[in-house]
Amino acid sequence: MGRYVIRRLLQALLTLGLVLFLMHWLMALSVQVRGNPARLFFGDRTPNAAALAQVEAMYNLDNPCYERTGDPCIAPFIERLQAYAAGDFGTTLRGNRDVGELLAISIPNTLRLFAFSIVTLVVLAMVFGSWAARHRNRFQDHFVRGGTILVDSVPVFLIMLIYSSLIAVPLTRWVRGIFGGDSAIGQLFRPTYDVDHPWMTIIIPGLLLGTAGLASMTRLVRASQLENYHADFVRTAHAKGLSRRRVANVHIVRNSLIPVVTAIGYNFAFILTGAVVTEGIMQIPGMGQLLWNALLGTEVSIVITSFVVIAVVVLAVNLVVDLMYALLDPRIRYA
Amino acid sequence: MKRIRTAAAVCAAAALALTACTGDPNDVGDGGGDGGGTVDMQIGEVPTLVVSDCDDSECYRIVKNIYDGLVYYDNETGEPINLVAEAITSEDNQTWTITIKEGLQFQNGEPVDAEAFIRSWNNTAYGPNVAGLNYFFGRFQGYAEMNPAPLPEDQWADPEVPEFPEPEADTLSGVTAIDDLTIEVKLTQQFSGFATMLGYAAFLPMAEECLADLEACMWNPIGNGPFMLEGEYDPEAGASAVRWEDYEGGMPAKIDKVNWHPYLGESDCWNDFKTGDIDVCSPRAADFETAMADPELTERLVSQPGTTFTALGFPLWMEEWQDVNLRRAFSTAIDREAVLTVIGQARGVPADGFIPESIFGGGTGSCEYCEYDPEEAKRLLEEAGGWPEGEVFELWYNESADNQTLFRAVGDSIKETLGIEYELVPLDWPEFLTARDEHTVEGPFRYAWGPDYNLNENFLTPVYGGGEAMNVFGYASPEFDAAILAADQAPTLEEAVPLYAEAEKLIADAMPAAPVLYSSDNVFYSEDVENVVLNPIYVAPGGDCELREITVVQ
Repeated sequence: MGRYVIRRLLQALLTLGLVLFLMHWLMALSVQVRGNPARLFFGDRTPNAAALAQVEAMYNLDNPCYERTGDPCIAPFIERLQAYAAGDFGTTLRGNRDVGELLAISIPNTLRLFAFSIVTLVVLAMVFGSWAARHRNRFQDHFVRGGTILVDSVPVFLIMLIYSSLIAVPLTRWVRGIFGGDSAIGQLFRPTYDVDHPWMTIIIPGLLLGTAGLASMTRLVRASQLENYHADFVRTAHAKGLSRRRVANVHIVRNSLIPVVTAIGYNFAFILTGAVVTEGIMQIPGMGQLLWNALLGTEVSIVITSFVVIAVVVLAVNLVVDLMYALLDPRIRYA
Repeated sequence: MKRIRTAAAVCAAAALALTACTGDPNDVGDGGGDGGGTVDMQIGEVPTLVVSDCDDSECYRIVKNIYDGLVYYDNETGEPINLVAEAITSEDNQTWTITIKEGLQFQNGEPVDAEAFIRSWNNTAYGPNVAGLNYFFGRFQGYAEMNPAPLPEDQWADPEVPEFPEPEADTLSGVTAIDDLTIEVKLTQQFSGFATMLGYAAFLPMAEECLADLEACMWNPIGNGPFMLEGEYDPEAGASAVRWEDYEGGMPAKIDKVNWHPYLGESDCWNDFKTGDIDVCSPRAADFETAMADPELTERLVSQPGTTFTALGFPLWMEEWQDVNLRRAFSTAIDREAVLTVIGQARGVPADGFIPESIFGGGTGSCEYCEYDPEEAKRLLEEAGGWPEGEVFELWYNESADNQTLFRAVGDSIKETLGIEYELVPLDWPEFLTARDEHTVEGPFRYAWGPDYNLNENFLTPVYGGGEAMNVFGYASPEFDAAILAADQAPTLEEAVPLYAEAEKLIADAMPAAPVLYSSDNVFYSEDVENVVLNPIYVAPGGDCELREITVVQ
């Protein structure tokens, strides 16, 4: 087990290094092609060469490699790695803010959003999937299949837009009319995130985001449970005289969780893409928004650091998922 | 437009404050100082609250309420009226004497005296500090010594990285404190509009405590104005400011508290305005038409001419564009009314000159060729020798949904009138700025400008001045420079303004750019507030109003 973990960690480190370099190269290319972001400092005012050079130097954008399109800018890359090693994630171009600080604000918001959407996704998929498996090929099964596909086929951004621009405003006014403007429930349905109510105003976006990928997840739960319904150990369990409930919960559900846990791992990265849209529409200052705005403004430090964080998270989640297999299935051992 | 968001928008305003500023704060009819209540405002991304870097509309919105400057721009006329200043006088327009009212203090108890202003100005003007508002001191004596030119190229360690000598001075030699409450400013040249600059953030005072710890002061400035931040401003979470009870200045706040709620990036306040969580909001283009069609909402709408000028710039360095008649033909071919119907009627007015009406000395209607006239356009084109058969012209702009709609409408209008095909060239903002600076744009391009201070000169010198290489049009004219200089040297501002207007006429004649639109400001407010006043000069986008004037409905 220990050796396995170490091997995986080393692989992860290699992947991280590649991600870092690729991101650095792409951002260097962006500066080379789109123009030096230092120029933004002056807006419509034409700066003289001296002032521009000073600002470029201030933002570490004065290396001549930024003027040669395609140059991977190795020297600034090494500087960046050294800075990371020293715990310095750089600063933003506008406002000179510490990127580490911005991440510390954004990450919790995205995690809250994830928590709600993953819980929604798993709970809905487990309930509907189990229900469909138990009533295989009957009305309930078809209903679940049709219903989840219908929900899943509406893109997340459309659900969010409809909610925030059509439903949220009248709903909030109505609820506040009943419970008062300052009540917790009066915040729940607000069309946008509010910093003073970081939990209440993130629940609904989380729930809505959780419907993305519902159809495939439900199908997966159903299929893997069905497989177990006919497994030898289930028949044995029945033969031992265990109650239906116990057989279902202990022998079927637990054993059918492996593919589901794998899917959650993959879904994590998938939901992240949904988070960019969700955070944009619901105005949640999370990783998605941070990254989006940084891309628009060529905020090199933010873009690279965010991708590194995302890569770390995806790698970590995948490692945890792999380790969970051993917990869920006694037959699996790592060496 | 971008300049408005990120680089200009200095606002400042002072409505009924004319009386207030002459020393008598009797705000007749507004219930005086005991209005009370809390107002919820939207705000965009605030990059900093340090006055020396406050080159942004969102920073300025806060700073102008936390601080009191020497002057404030009147909420009706936009003219500078004395706030902290007792008097601003000059005999020759080159040496200015500013006297400060007695007994004013910062919120930490430090005195607001000559030293408070001078230390702030020296800090901003010192080249190595790379302050965003550094250029405002370019007219001061001693600026050059604090901002040396780069060393000769052969002395740089890296041939691509300019190096600078140590500045010879760290204080402006042209600024001296005659006594505790009197500042003398010597300019390099005469400038009769000097007083109009003084309301901008660059000229605000700084407390000693603030300058000693700029880091702390960055998000919790120590002001001398009617509002006081309750804690550090947080760019993501916003902040609240309460009325400073010991405020002695001329323009007190009427409300008890203001909450600023940040809307960053693409987000906007409109939905929160509808649920009542925000009190003042300007909808974006997408929501604007529906809002205007709702009689319940338009009852609480403030609409007034704005100060942003949008034009179609011409690349004068290109052979093809040197004939003035061609440029006039293009300008005459733009149906500005039709362009406005495409982007939304209430969002602007057709420009008939180069300076918006709400700017001091603006609205002269100087542009002879801004009237849509297809016949005249064709005649002018012929006079210019016609347009090469089958050639298309490129229309360059920085990409955003609004710009595309606008410049497609402009291009279509020209195409329809003159029968010349065009091609849109959208660029990213930084790329676009660089292309314009370096004159690599290959066709007419978008140009927009918002004021730094309320004077027609501000729409001329920074835009068309500086010589061929320094302005984006590649425009240079000794007559124009002479006209500006003559106006700068006029004995009084009243005499200078018509002289600057003469310079505007030269621009109208040479037409380095074809004016397209002047902006309009439209702000909706909730049932909870009244006395929503917009400054004629500086209104931030998104939903701005004068916080010293607004009151809460009891």
